[in-house]
Amino acid sequence: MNAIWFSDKRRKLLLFLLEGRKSPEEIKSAFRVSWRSLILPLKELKEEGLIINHNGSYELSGIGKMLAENVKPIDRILNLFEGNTDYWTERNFKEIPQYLLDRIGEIENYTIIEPDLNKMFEPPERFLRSLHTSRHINAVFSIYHPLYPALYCQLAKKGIPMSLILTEPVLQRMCEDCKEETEIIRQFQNTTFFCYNHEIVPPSFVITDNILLISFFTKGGRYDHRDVMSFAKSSLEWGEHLFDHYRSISHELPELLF
Amino acid sequence: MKTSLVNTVWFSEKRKNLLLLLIEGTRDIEQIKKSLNVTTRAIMPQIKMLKQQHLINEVGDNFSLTTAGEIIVKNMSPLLETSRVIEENKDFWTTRNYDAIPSHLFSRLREVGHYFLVEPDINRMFELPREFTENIPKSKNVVTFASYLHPTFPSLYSGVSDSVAEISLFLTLPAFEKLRNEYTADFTKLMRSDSTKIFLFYDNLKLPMITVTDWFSYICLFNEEGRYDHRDIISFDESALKWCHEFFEFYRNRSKEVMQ
Repeated sequence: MNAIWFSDKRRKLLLFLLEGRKSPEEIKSAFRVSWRSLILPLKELKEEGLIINHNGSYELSGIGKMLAENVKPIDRILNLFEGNTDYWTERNFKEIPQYLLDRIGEIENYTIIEPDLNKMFEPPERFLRSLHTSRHINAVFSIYHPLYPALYCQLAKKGIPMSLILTEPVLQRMCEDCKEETEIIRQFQNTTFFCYNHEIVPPSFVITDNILLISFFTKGGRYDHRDVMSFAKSSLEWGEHLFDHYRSISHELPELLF
Repeated sequence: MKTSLVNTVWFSEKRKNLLLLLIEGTRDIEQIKKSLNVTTRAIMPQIKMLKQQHLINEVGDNFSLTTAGEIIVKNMSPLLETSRVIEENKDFWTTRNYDAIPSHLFSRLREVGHYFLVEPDINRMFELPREFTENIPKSKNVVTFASYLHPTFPSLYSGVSDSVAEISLFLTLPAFEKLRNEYTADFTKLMRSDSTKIFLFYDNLKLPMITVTDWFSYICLFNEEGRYDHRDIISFDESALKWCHEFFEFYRNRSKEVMQ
């Protein structure tokens, strides 16, 4: 249906009207363009039977709704890749289960954060603030970060429920280097540790009720300190699904570690 | 002109078709030219653009999708499928009433797949379509919802109640009463049959009839004026059967079995 292909404006209008009936004022302010530039796309959509003009307001027809819903996935995935194509094409996606990879467009309104040279090993400010105000924290650690045990110790003391999945190598290092902090975290009722020991190394990520931060490895298996951070609802849901996947293939660690 | 990803994917029929070709597997230039019916000169700029956007790989003579390219194509399919379904019978789909279809199933209407539009036959105006009457007896199990009872419907179902292993008949109250009062013989036979269960559907679903069997699905919709114009959809695709089963699943709690 050419109405949707070949035109940014038409596609965006369709998606906008998914929210419901809109007046010309609402459309104009949402698109921040002159009404004149919207007249033609709206007319074309009407002619294709995708939108109806109802007393001056516009809404999607039955077919329009059907198509708009089906435009969402491709629109999302293009939004994801657009502008950061080099970042995404450099990532190693073998770690992500196919069904979640197909839906990776659900990560919305994200930023790629790259720390300053001077702050290379500190977690991002925004991230820390979000962690401290989270109501629950789920994480997969496939990268050992020397500051993290102390950080999560702090968080555990605040009583925040946490489920932490560690890869074998990370678990080992935690036991060697931060035995004390690890012990303290384990003492808390609502923290659970899991061990993941499969061949494919998962991305390192943290998903809470208000933030998603993922460190994807590059195709070469390296970590280039470029992380994806998002606060959007759909991103958080995607992140939780990803966490559930890894949890389902990890085993819970018993009470006594040492 | 943006050399953005959006532009790359959305704004060219050739590029779109190339991506769709490559989701099926690696191809060399000759295969690409043949499948897309293009010359080398026509397709090379498209290939170059897709490579620049990291959507396809070139290894020797062979072209394939990158992971990103694959993800994009997979996310394009729902829209392409939906467009195809609608375009095949645009007039039909734009004039239907979809009130009875739950929204999550409505946006997946493309799952009817390779469907056929059954149009009313002037020569057989008072009979049920052959596509329906001939296929029901060949089914092992039949699940039907009906708010509209065609005159030959009761005899069709009572006639197969011995040969079909399982029949589940969901009827709205008006349809049920019509069956019981005006087609008593058929009704009795159905009630007595071991294979048949009749359910009384509480709501007045705005749908004339929907049937799913083990091998075909048959969907009747009211037109936008709320009238039944006898234009139906039949499909033999697995995805269509699954869609219909989900439809019945959604309304599962809205009915109660009628016991003798």
